[in-house]
Amino acid sequence: MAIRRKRKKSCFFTENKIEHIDYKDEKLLRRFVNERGKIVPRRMSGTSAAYQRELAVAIKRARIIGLLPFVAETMR
Amino acid sequence: MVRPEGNHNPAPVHNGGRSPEGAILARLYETVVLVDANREDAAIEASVQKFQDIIAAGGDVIRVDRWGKRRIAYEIAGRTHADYTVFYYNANKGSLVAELERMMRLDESVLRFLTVVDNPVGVPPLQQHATEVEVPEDAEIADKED
Repeated sequence: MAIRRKRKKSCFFTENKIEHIDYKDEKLLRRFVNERGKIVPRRMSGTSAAYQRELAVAIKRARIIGLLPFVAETMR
Repeated sequence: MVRPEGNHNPAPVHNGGRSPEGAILARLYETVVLVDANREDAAIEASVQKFQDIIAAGGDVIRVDRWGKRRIAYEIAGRTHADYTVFYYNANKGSLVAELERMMRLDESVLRFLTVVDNPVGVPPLQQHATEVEVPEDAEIADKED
């Protein structure tokens, strides 16, 4: 398994009572993308299944309009 | 999921744009447009206004968010910055979006656009999106400078 599992027990969206995820909300979306720009898996972010699906769609749309990268170089 | 009250546009229903009686309903649309930031401000404004007029002719403009110039996450057409605008509008099911997108494709200064229908998010509250003002000249791009 991953060396550092940031295991979260609660889903960010249900905790903060967010109804739907906006693909234009780059600041929010960045939390769920790692340094390489990849979408963080549920077991790391603690997101519920339903929100994770919506999140994935939002992130992919944000990538298309250039708010998030498809691939990002890690900062060394 | 939790449903807060007081949404500007109620959660849309996907029914083909018709009410239960079969009447044609208005749908909530949002279109994000990226315009080349290297263009002159006047040219950018003109393009944005042109699109807004097209929308107004075929539907109701709810709000126009001008995010202004921002850095994009990756190069598009060799550019690093783009001028973002978001149009929120209602329109009946019809050819407005097709016409709008056609016009956007024709405009060479438009780098990207994305249209979403009946976004459950609705029209979000106003917030600050513009991050940068200074746009570096992308030297390798042969712009039509006159």
